[in-house]
Amino acid sequence: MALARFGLGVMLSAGFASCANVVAHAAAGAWVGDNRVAVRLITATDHLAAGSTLEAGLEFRFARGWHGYWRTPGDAGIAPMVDWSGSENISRDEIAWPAPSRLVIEDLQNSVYADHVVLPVTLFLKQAGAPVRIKASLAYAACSDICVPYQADLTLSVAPGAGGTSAEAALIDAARKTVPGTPAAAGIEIVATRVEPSASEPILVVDLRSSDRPFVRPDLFVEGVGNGLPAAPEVALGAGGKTARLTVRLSSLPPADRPLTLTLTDDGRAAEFTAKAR
Amino acid sequence: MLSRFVMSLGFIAGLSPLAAQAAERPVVVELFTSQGCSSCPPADAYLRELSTQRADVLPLAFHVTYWDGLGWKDPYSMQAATQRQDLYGRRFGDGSYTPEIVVDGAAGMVGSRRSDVGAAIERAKRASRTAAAISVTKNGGQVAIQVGSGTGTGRILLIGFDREHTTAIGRGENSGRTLTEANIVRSIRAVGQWSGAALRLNEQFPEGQDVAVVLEAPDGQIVGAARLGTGGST
Repeated sequence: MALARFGLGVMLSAGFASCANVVAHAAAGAWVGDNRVAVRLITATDHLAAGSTLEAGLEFRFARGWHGYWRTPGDAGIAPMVDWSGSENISRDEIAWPAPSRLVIEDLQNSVYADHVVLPVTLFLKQAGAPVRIKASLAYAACSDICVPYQADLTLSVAPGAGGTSAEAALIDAARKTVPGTPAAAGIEIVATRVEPSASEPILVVDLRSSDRPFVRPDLFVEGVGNGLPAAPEVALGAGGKTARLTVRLSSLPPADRPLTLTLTDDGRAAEFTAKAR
Repeated sequence: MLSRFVMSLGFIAGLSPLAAQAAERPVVVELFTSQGCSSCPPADAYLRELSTQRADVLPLAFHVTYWDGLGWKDPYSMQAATQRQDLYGRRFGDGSYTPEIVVDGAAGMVGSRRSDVGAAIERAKRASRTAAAISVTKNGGQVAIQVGSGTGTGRILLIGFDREHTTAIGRGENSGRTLTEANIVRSIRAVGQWSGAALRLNEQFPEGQDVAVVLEAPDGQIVGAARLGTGGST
């Protein structure tokens, strides 16, 4: 019953979206989705200001109990994949990824977004000052007790004109603040990282020091080891929470020629850094 | 003496042909799943239970391709599984998702909801849509398929499957976390069209350790099924 409604919802919103496409000259495209998940394109300005880039975002809303995926989804799921090639006057894109949260289901490690997330995107224009038509062909997933693959074509036209921030600019700004930056910016010092390359069970050890507030419940997302996602670290806090030793069991020995990408999340702050694998 | 016995059996069967057939053909339970789906392990476990505990059910696990990620692929995923689910999704109007269980080609439901699936299996047994008896036997490197006479038309599908595989759960390797899955479909192929008259086919043994044959009516509902060695009805 719910599924039948879902089918109808998709058709309705798809129909609505295609009507909206014709007239969408604003800082937000139409929502495309259903009662589980919906997504739309937003831009930080109503019109194209001077400059060769356009700040945009992919805004997702998930119904209660549903989640979507980070760039490295983990043991299951798929990351959102966007094809911008149907756009006009866009040469390339840079997507930023807000820090994910960890969801463990039946031993499967998932790095996910729930409720609401904006993926900030910088779009690079071929020709500054010329009109832009954004077309994002998006493939993504949403899961609860089922996992559903979605495909959405999102479009939004932005004409040159007086700049000024849009109503949606605040959403993009807020999302940028949740994108992991440097450890220093998060008030964290990376004291040491090392991989103990035991063949049976290699481990990654990361020593951290917090310069301002104590660590609360640090988690570490390790990218670059196999295709899955290592489980959450064992955490040993010291010095009143100002130091932390994170120990992660790696599922396999990381490749020697590429550093691991580590994303640290803790109590609203996040940082990204790398560690030499060997 | 023996022939009289057979005749009287036929007579009894003639009195309630539906009941006789219903008892003898397994209800086909198709699970659409993937190792790259976090919601799927409970449904995988359920299908495995059906495969070991229910002789009246033919469970088949189709591993779809759409959760194959960058640099990772469910080793049992195949395009034919994705396509088969896509056809069901169009017919039922609910799209594709995992885990989905389709019972006798008649209804799709969330694959981990045991009570829904159990009820659908009972409904299928009562409805007993059986157009023809089917048997399949192994004959060297070939399988011999017999479809009896009956009313209606249908596609004859030859399905090869592996009885059980244990693999690392999800995409993690060497993590020590494993998942055992049953009746994993490795191949599916339409081998003939049935139009009411009895027919025999000889086919190459398909990819997979075991074999099932399914008769699919034009509306997609399953109206005949047999598994290697289990024979057919009547």
